[in-house]
Amino acid sequence: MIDAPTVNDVATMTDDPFGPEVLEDPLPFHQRLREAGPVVFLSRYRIYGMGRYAEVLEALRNWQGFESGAGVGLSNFRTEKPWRPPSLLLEADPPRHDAPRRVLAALLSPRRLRGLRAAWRQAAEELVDRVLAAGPEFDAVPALAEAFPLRVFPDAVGLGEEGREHLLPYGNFLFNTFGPGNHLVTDAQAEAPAHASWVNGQCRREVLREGGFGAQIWAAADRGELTPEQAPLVVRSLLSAGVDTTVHGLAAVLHALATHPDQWRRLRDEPLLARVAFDEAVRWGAPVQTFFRTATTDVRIGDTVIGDGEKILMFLGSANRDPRRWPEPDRFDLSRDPSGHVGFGFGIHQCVGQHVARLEAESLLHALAARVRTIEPAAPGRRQHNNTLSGWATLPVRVTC
Amino acid sequence: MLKIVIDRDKCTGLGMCEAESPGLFEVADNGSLVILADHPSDEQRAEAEAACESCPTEALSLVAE
Repeated sequence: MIDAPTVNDVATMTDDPFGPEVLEDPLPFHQRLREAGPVVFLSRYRIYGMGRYAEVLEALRNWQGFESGAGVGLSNFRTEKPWRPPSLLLEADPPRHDAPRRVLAALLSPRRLRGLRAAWRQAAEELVDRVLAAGPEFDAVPALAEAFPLRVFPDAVGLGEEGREHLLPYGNFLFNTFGPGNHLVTDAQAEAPAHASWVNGQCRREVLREGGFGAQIWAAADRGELTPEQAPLVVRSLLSAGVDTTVHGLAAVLHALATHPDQWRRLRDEPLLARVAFDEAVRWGAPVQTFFRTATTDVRIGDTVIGDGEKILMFLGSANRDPRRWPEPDRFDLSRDPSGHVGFGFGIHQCVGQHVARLEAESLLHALAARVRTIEPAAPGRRQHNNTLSGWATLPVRVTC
Repeated sequence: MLKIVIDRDKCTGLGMCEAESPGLFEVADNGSLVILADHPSDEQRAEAEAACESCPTEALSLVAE
């Protein structure tokens, strides 16, 4: 938070980027944000914001100038105490960030995940068969977007069966806390400690099933790649960042396909497009909308100087639809090459679990494409408001087989 | 002839390159990136370019030798 913009000629916007209007539909705000300039001053929170692709990419790339260690939310850890012990990955900088990151990257690498492919394909087929057997109309959020990650991911981590219902509300609360203390945070404040305490309890070595991601993180600590103090926090990163994000990513691709029948037909004809479809949906829908950085020194962007210790909000969803980078950015189009989108971030903090998310999406989309001829909205979906995530609470769909 | 060059100070072992081109790149169990073939064949050229392009820390490049 700052008293006044360091440079006077930066455009000022009074909108609340965490208010209900923007969370319901961020696109009109994003457009004004991009047009206002490469950097704007968001007077409500006295922070800087950027919505154009080039500047967002540069800020993500410049971890030396824009740190994560002071928090990737509105709260500045230089002056405010974090509500939980900070993440060793998301809320850390090199060199401390690197060992935990390396352990997770190796564990979640494409080669290591190949061992899960057959089982996840089968799980997706069983789930889709069960959903379709119940009738042609269903809510795709609980039936598919939530059910599939919850079916495969906790097992892969090696969690016990008890208490898994804490996972989604924990993640939802965590991603809300990156924004201001609005009603999205305060409404859930009373129940949050119970979710956090369950999640922390699952990070202990003795409760994690042998062979799962969690046990392998502890094995990395045995090999000296992590300290025993770091291991539970690295497990926590999996449980924090690996569930809600994927649910919203799957909801984004299901929503996109249900509302673009021509693109659904393409996917049915060419199931190998499942990967492109998911990445294009992550570009187009941007399940993770925003993250903050903090300037480590005075950093110049265009004509604006972001002063040491000042917060800057990167609008990933806006960058993903910047017409300066993307031709016809609002089109969901499987013939596009979506690579380069910042929906998973960029630079040293780019989503370490993205191969997991892609495998989940690919498994589910393959199972659907092999069984479902048409998918369309049965009623308008309802948005789920979150200070960081863009998602759907409901997506009623009708299918034919 | 093209050669794949890696800047190990920048590589974080995320494996975007491996996802693009499992024949040329592999993240080892210890998290370090192994380049399976320094010189991509003509058939591998497009995927080698995609792999270098996909690196979020810009650790990979293709240079003419």
